[in-house]
Amino acid sequence: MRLSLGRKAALFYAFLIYLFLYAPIAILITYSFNQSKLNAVWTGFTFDWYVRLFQNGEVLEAAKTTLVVALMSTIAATVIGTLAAVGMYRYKFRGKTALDSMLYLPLVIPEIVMGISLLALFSQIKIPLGYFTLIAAHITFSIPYIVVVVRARLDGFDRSLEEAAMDLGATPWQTFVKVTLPVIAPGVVAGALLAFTLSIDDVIISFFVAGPGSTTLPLKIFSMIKFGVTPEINALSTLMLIVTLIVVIIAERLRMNKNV
Amino acid sequence: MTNCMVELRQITKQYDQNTVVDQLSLEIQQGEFMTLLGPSGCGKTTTLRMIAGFELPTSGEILLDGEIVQHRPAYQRNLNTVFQNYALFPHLTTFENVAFGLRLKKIAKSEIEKRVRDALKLVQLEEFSGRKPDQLSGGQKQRVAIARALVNNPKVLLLDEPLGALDLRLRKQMQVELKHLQQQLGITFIFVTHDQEEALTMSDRIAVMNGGKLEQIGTPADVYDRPVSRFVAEFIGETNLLTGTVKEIGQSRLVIESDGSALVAPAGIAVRELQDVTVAIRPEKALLSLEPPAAADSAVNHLPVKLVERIYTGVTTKTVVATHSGKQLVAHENTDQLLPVSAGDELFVTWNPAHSVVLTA
Repeated sequence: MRLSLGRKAALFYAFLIYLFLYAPIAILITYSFNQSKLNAVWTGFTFDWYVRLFQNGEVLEAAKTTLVVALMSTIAATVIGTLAAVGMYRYKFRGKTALDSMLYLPLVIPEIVMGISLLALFSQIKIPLGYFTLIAAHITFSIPYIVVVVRARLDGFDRSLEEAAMDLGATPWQTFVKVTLPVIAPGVVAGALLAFTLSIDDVIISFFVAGPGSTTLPLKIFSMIKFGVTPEINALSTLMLIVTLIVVIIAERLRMNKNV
Repeated sequence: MTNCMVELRQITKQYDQNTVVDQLSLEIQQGEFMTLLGPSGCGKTTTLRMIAGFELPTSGEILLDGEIVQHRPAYQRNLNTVFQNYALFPHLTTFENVAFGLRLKKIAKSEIEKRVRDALKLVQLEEFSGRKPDQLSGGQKQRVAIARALVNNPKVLLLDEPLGALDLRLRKQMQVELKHLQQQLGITFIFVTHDQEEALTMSDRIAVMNGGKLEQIGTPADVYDRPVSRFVAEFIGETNLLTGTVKEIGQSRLVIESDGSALVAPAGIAVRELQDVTVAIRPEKALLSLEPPAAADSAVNHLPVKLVERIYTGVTTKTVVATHSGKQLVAHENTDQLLPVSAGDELFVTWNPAHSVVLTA
């Protein structure tokens, strides 16, 4: 079958768009397997850079920091964000609209502004920069994302389920644990996974609030780049990309599946 | 009252300035099937929700088995609710849905197992215990909801339009099943519906509500045959309403002039002479004849009318006639024995004075 000219043009246009989106990533991944130290010439296939990466103590330390911070901040932000979402869904009170929108505001505050303000706060109250400040900062920017995702799930939640649970003798706490939470769980998990990826990838805010002993992977990459982009960085970036993608895919699948 | 299971004393519920339930008092006996009947917005569901504990009355008292409960939260009241949309827990199987209340009461596993099986057997759903709610049909969900409530042996079962979402056939079937279940278990049922036919079929007594107030309370026969107001007469079943003026108040009968004819009704209603009243006659009590009743037979009410149209409904035919002043009345004729008349022909509507219901409200 012959394609019309317009259809050919449309296909070509789509091809260009995807090329634009994914060419940089393709190059990054490709050169992580390049034998040459230069990202310019392809000299042959190797896993060397990945091996080197796992022998680099500083990188492994940064990876550990990243995971610890992401895990802790995700757990804390998920608890706070879920309770906030449920509270905002359930109760009516004066000033609710204002408080509700203030929950989402951090989503649009420039990251650099948040980073600087957090740094200013921590130095004002004299908290030394380190794990604690890093985790606190990550909790701060994760909460709004969790609230958004959990609220979306709650929109389809039937209030009469909670009434039914109470009717059967469940206290408000039992109702929350046995009915509300299991029903909104896919939303909560999706929100948590989203917060986790945001925490793993964050550079700007972490740059301001990380201490000497608490360098995260993105910060590590950032500092390594000062000495030139090596295939080792490509390899590290590729691994981070894979981890993030896996988490995001799981989160999206949970978000889409409303029947769980 | 010794056997009074649920008592409402002067219950009022207001939302902002809006009075939804207004000074409602009601007594429901142990083992009774009581229906709260009324159009949407009449306050019947709000009343039920106050009994269940989901709404707090603005004023008044609710007594459950002699105890004042209106301030007790829903989870501390020994009654259970069947919700309009079933409200089954989507993440739990049929079995776990039914076991929910028992698990909270920390009952032994083996006993929960047995009681849930029994409850599912009662509603004929034993084979579905492993299914999730979204794998059940509407009728099956309905049964699960009933089993989930009954398994707790509540003193009172509240049902909020539980059959509203079912198709007509299933509805009829569930009406009978629910009634049998209630008789078998002897539990007090408080049933909310806007379907007057459903109310008549199932109830021991019906409380007809309108605008947040109790319009009439009585057995199905009471509210059908002896409505106390135009609202009740019109809401329950079909009815013909004739307006008229009281002409004569006798020992055993009233004479009311309507449309130029004198209509006789039984005495016993507080009216004064020349008061404007409404006379209600059920279509099945109204008979049609070609001749007026014999002059001597003043014991029969009759109105000269013209045939307007006939509507075939199966066993009976709805025959619409009009009085001289154009007021339309409906009479039910036996489809096999229709009078030989056609549209525009003159005939008479007659009925036994005992079937005239005089309404002052």
